[in-house]
Amino acid sequence: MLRSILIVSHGTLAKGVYEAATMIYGELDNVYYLCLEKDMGIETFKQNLEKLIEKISESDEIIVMADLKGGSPYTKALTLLSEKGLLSKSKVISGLNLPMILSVLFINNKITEKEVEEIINSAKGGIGLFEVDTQDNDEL
Amino acid sequence: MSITFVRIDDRIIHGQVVTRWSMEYPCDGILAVNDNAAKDPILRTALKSASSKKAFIYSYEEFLGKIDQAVKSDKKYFLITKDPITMSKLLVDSNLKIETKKINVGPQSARTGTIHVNNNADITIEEAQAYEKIFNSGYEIDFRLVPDSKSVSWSQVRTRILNK
Repeated sequence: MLRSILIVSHGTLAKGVYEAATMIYGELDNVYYLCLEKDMGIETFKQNLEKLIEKISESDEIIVMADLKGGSPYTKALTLLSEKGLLSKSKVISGLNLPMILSVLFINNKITEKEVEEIINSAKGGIGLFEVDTQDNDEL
Repeated sequence: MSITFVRIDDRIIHGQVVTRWSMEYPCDGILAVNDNAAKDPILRTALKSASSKKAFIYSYEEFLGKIDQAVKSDKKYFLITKDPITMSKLLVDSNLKIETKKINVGPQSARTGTIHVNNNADITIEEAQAYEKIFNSGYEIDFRLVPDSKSVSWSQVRTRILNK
């Protein structure tokens, strides 16, 4: 089974998350990123995204992660996947962060709704306030 | 007690990565041995909260004192140190009896004068000597960040690195 992963974002967030993931995971296969950068223009982004989606269109499943729900990278990805009839084999998840992409990388089987829930939980689980633990180590 | 998995990782406990390894080896909790982390309540808390597994952070001396108690427990633990020098003290000098003969090495950040071994694994010559000491005690050392990523074994690279 071939899974392609596509990360899209404003600014260089997608590239940054991609590079951060290589530090933890090592080399990433079939993972692509595309950034809507300042002064790039949405048309250029759309054309680049179209090329990228063409390239991965034969994959068995496509996982798209976007930084912002309803943002341009997110909506452009949805529109293009839909136009090309690829939406049914795609999962598009918003709220991109590092725990999210690691969670996707760590799943080897097909990503069904259950796995999507796990991915979203780990993305949410990474968010928290630090509090000092005053308790000592308890018994083994 | 049994130690099911042994890792050297300069972040000590990395939440999701530990979780991923625990899908390969049974894990009820994590024993991390690091003098700095053990005496620093902030760092200790940060490490303990990094993973969903129960984590214990000990200094080297504290850990030696805990071994008897740990042996009586029927739980399965991951043993983690930040560096190979502490690991060689545990496995070779203190002759800690563990059930596995495999040592996994995760991230070891590049520093001045380090030699590259694998993705995000760069070691000093002192560390190389510690790996060699562990290797000579009959352990297999595997440099690999996560189960699916590229593996380099110490036996493949030891001659090149020790002759630097």
